[in-house]
Amino acid sequence: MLITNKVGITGMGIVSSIGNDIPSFSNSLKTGKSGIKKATILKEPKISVDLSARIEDFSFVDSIDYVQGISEDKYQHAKRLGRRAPFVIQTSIVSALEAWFNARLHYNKPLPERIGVIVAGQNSTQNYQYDLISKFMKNPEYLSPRYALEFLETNQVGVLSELFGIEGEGFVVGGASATGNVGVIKGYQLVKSGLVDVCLVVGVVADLSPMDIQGFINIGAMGGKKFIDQPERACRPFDKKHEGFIYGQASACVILESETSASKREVPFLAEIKGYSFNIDSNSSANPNINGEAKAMLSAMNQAKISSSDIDYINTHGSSSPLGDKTEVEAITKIFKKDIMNLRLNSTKGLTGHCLYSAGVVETIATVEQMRNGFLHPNKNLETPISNELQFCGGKYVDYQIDIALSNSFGFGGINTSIVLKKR
Amino acid sequence: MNKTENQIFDLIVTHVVDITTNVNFETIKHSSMLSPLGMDSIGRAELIARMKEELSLNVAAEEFYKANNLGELAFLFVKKLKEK
Repeated sequence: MLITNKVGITGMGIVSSIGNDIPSFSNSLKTGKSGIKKATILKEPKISVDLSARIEDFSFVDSIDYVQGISEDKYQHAKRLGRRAPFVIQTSIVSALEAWFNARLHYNKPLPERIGVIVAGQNSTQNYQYDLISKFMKNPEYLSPRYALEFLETNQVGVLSELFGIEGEGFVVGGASATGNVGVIKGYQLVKSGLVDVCLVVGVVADLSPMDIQGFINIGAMGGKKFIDQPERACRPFDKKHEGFIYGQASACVILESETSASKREVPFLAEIKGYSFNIDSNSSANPNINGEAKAMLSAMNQAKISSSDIDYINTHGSSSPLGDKTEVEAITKIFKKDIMNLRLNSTKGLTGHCLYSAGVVETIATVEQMRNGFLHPNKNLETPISNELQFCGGKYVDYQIDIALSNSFGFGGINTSIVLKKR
Repeated sequence: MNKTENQIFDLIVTHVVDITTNVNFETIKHSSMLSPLGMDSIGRAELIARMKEELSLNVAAEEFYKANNLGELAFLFVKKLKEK
């Protein structure tokens, strides 16, 4: 028989362009710091837009050394697993370690088979492979045997499960730009259904190859041309001058846990996940759909047994895509009607860029941090809003108490997700 | 033992230390075997692939599996280099 229980977040960790731990990320949200810059390392061939919010000056060993409370044993284990691993795995280890220690799982954890791990990330080895191609073309014999492990996305499941002694369910999920939310939703389902007590959900860095970036440019999804010499102004969610998303990098991790387990361990919820929705549009293309997005928000609220008047804040998908922003505004307006007067909105992507696979986890963390610290971060570069009905945040942070929030993520292929978070 | 074989042994040791952790140069001898140094089958495959690349050898990795210790492995690499 399945057991039902409340599910909450008991730990969080992040490595991003605007902060390599939760306190610095949170501070950057408040100050409106943008991670978007011109690329400093250029690969051949040169691609037409080189603006992005990348993780810079990352040192794996220094980062694990910096994790608060880490024991010598765990430090050595993490070092052994990650020292020569690809960048994407190293950043996942670091964000997961911060979340693990934040949730105090290092000295008081459930049985290994009661802990699950979900890696939210698709195509995460694209740039790793791209970098190896020229060497491989010269002599396939010299390819590292570790490639056979490392090009598989599930390598992250193996690495994280070994590091933390996890023996419950472990798998990878993908949902294009909604991948992070899909991970949180699947983790929620595992905990809610009683299959595990704790689930580690890691949104992985989208380490795009130049070919991937050019593909996004060619399909018309990526912006940056209008503000090529003013990188910080390039990502403009819901502004009339928006022209597409700006690529960002982040690894983000949340620990989801049942209330029973958290109470037993005497660890507080940082926020409760009250409900979610995940639907698809029956559409193989890139275009968003008002009805699918509206249905996601409505179903999430229904599952959480709340109405639109209960929502204080939406962390929007808000990617700075003209059609995407317009569609999300119309979907929100359609379902919130008169309640939009009491609703505040912003987009974290204006600061972090679009972190693609990890975006949903990054924005869950951004929502929880705003909730816990009583503020709303700026909606960067919103000068002329595409809608005057919705109350977007301005250029500066504001003090604001959020009790219940929605966090939206939508993806190519008609993927619509929304999560309801409640302050604890 | 000629100089080339010593150099190749040193090269092997450098890679073993890089592939594993918690192993010092000083503790590795010609009679050392890979498993006690923390090298599993993937580590062994990686060591051989790296050596082949450094020495520009195009020989099947299996050719080196019969070495019982690092000294024998160095000897096999020297032999294959001479056969080039």
